[in-house]
Amino acid sequence: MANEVLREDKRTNSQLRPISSVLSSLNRADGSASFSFGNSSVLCSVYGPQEVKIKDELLDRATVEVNITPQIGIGSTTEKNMERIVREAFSDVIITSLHPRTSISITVQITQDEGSIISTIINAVSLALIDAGIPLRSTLLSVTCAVQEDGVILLDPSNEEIKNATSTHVFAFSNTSNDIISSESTGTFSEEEYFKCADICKLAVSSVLKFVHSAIEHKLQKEQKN
Amino acid sequence: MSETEEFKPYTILPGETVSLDKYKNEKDVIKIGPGLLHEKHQISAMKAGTLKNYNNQKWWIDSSQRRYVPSLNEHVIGKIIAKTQDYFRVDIGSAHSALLSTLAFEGATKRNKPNLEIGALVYARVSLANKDMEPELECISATTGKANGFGELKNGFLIKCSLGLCRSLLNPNTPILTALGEHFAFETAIGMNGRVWLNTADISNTILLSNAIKNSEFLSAKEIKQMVKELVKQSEDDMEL
Repeated sequence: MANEVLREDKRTNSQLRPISSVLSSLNRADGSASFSFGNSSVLCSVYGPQEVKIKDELLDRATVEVNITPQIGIGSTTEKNMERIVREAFSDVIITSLHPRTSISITVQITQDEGSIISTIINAVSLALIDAGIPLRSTLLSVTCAVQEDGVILLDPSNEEIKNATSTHVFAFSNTSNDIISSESTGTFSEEEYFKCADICKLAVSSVLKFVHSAIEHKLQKEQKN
Repeated sequence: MSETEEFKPYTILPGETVSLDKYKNEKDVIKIGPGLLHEKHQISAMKAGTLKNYNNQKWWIDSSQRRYVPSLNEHVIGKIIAKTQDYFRVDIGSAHSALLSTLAFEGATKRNKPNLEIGALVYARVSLANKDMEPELECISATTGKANGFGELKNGFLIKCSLGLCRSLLNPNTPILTALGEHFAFETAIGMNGRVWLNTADISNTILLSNAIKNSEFLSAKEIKQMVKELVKQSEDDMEL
C-alpha cells in the first residue's frame, strides 16, 4: 500500500492510533483502568458488587449504573447518550444474575477527547470490569470508523475526520462469537458501506484484543511474583 | 487408559472457552471452581486470571480482586455494626452485611450471650453463602463446636488489602510474615475478605507491620527480605532519636 494517501497524523486509512492502558490505577476503587487511543483517553472505575439503593434494587440481578463525566463541567445530553450506549452494550456481558440485589457502579471520566471517544470508553470499562473481577460473559472491545465523502473508510477517526465524514460507526465485538454486540451509527450511509465498516472494525478489534491480553498478562505476572 | 496432555497454566480472558477433556483420564470427574462457568455444554471463563488445575480434575482461575464475595466455610474478619436480641449484624466487606447469631459462640446459651459492642471485630466462619440470601457467620468450628480461635479480636489493628494478598498471607511459608517474624513477635488473624488484624506489644511495631504487609504485594521474596530489613533499621533509628 505504498501509494495510499496518508492521513493528517501520518496513519494509513486502516491504522489505529497507538493504544495504551494502565490497570488498577485507583487504589480505593474495586477495579479501575485507563485506556487511550492516541490522544483520546479516559479513566474508568468500577465499584461492586456493593449495596444498592432500595429504589434501584432488582430482586433477580444486579443493577448496573453508568456515569460518564466530560473533560470539563458536568454531563449533558451527549454524556447521557453515551451512558445509554455503554449500559446497553454491557447489559448482556455482565452476568448480573450472579449478584442479585446489588449494584455495580461504573464511573467514567473523559480525560481527553480527540475522537472515537465511545470506543475508548467501552474498552476502558471492559478493562476496569475485568480488574474488579466482575463475572463477564465475554470481553467486549470496540473500534470506531468513519466514511468520508469520497467513500474512503477511515479507522479510529480523529475529531477532525469525524467532522468531515458522511457517517461514523461504532462497533463493539465480543471475543467469543465475533458477533457485533453493539453498533451505533450516525449520518447517511448505504447497507454496503455499513457492512464494509463492520468488517474493517472486526479486523481492528482483534489487535485491540491482543493488546488487552498482554496488558492483563502483565498485571498477573506482577501479582504472582512470589 | 487414554493418553492425557500435559497442562501448563496460562492467562485467560472472560469469554474464552476451555476444553478440559483432553487433560483428563476417562474415569476422572471434573470439578470447576472460581472464575469458571458451565453453560450450554461448554466451560468458559468469566474472570481474567491464570487457569490452574489440581491433578487435572479440579480447575479454577487464579486472580486477585478487591471486593469480597462470601463463600462457604471461608474465615473472615468482620466489624459489628448493629446488634439485636438474637443476632449481630456484621460488616464483612461484601455487598450485604452478614448475620451472626448470638448463639453461634462457644458455650453460648439463651441466658449466657456474648457481649460484643458495636465496632468490635470478630473472626468468624461463613456458615451460609447464597447469592439470594444474606450471608451468615458462626464463631464456632463446624466439626468440634469449639471456638477454635474464632471470636472477638481484642485490641490490635485492622488493615485492608486485596484478596490475593490475603490468600498469599495464609500460606504458612509466606515470605513477608516469615521475614517479619525474625525481628519481633506479633499476632495476626487473616480474613479471606481482604482484612488483616495485627497485634504487637508495641505500637511502632504495629505500624511497621502494617506498612510492610501493604508494601509486600508486588515484591518478590528477595525484595521483601530487603524491605523488611530496611524498615526495621529505620524504626530502630527513629527510636534512638
